[in-house]
Amino acid sequence: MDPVPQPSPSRPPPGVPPIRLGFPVKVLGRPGLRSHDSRRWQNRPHLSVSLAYLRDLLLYLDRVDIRLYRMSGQLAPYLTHPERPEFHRQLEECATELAALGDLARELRLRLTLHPGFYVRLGSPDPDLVARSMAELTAAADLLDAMGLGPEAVMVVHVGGPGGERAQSRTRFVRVVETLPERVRSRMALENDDRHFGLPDVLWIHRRTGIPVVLDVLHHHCLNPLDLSLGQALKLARATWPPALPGKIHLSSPRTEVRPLVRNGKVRLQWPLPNQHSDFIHPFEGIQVLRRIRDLALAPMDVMVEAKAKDVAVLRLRAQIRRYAPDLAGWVQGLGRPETSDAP
Amino acid sequence: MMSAHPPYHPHARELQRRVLVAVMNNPRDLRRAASEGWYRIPQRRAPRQLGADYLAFYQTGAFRGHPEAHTVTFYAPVRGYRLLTRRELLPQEPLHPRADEFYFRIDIGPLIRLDRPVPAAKLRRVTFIPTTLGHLLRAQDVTELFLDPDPLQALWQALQAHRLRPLAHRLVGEWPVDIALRAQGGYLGIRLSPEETGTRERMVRYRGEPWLVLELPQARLQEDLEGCLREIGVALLELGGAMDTRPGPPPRFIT
Repeated sequence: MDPVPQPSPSRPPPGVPPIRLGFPVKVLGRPGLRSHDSRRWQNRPHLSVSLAYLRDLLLYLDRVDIRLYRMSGQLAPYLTHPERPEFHRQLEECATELAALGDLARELRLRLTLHPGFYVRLGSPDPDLVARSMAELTAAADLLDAMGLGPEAVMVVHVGGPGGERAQSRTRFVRVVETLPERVRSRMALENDDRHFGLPDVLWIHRRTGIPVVLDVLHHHCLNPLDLSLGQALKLARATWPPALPGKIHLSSPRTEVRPLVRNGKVRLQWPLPNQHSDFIHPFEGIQVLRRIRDLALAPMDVMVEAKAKDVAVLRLRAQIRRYAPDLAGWVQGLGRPETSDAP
Repeated sequence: MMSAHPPYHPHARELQRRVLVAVMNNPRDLRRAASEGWYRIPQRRAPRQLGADYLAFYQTGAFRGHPEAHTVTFYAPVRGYRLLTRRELLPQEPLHPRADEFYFRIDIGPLIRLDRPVPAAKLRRVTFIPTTLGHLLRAQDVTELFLDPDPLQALWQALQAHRLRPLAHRLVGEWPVDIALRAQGGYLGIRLSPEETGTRERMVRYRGEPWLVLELPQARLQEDLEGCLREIGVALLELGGAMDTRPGPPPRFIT
């Protein structure tokens, strides 16, 4: 006899925080907010200016009750640029400001993360590129440390390396990670990509390095060599994180519309590709992923919404969850607050 | 150094650069900005939008007798921000009552004189105005510097106009509120909601004090500020009436 289905609990068990929805870097919902100082070196950009922008942005996040945010990878401009030594001491110059911003993030209970530049490729066969990647990661870890952020503030990286040498790239990645200082390694998280290094590859690396896995759901749909279901993939990825630390996934929907591209005065239609991000999240797919997280008891778990509409996409998804999936209201941060209570 | 008419022709991207208009209310600070290249803002009174590529100065009536009084005439590129105590910032004043308070020291480049200073003919009580370089170079009055109205700022100013004393954002337990108002029987917390829902009210207790938290949809605030003010007035009455009102007749919206 089939067991009687049990209704899902209306909120996570005590001590387990609800799922945080966040977004990367750029704010679209509030004109004038910038993610970093984007001036070129001739105009003397500085980390301290980026931090002033970031402070304004964190206050905005608090107002809209978004508690997960990926900081710009270019917060400290030219910090590791080999030909611009005048920019190399920005972390030391901004020690007080970094600490103050870290305090603010903690006060606002914000999880901050980083996704260092696309050129960070620890699996590459090019030793110069690997050395540059290591310097970049070390600087990013130093920045998170200077802000005094806890272990949940991770830097998400891809394996990197030629797709034709998958096994060699994975091995190189592991060897390079072994040479990194512990303070850098402990900040790292590894994301599956959509072309070469799928979930089995990043799990292989996790088993040898302990680096937790960020499951990118869209990438998993694009590259799933073992035909793992979404639920299986979520469980495998979650298991790579310490139980008390919130796991992290990336959620996006594929672009589906045709785009007109104008080049040399001629209009050409570009078809959508499945790995391109759409402006917003498909609400029912998003809800399905969140229900999987709930039903498989994978919380605490945070969801980085990778959509072109950024914070606006998060706010819209929250509204759609409230409308179409009220059963998730208590599970998603920013939706379900106690109606009346003695606030702790 | 102050340069008179720099040969400066910004292109379109440059016009989008962010400018923070700050208040310059004494000649000594302007001299310091020009000669030492910095300006200070107390951390606790810093505006919500502090980051900028340029800092511009609105010179108050303290510059009476100067053509720059009540205008924005100078601006300068921002070089960096530092958090320092007043004691570190002004070591010659170690016994100042706020010597241990933190200030943002904004380092700036040379002051640039606007070809066409921006007068404040309609608005004299200027505080911080986040704007763009394009707005600064084109504006014919300070009121033209304002970008899209910030609903929180609008509410804040409306409450002040009704002689209430809004307090800046804070956490009430796990509840972030944007504005708090003290009332006879507790606190009213106002929270702007980005979602399009109706107004919601909740009573909570925090540190022994009753808090009525009013959640107002941001869109509604933009469309019907007066209606929102009436709801705030009713909520204040439920808490026994407002405290901290400045002298004068009672706030209009609760009558």
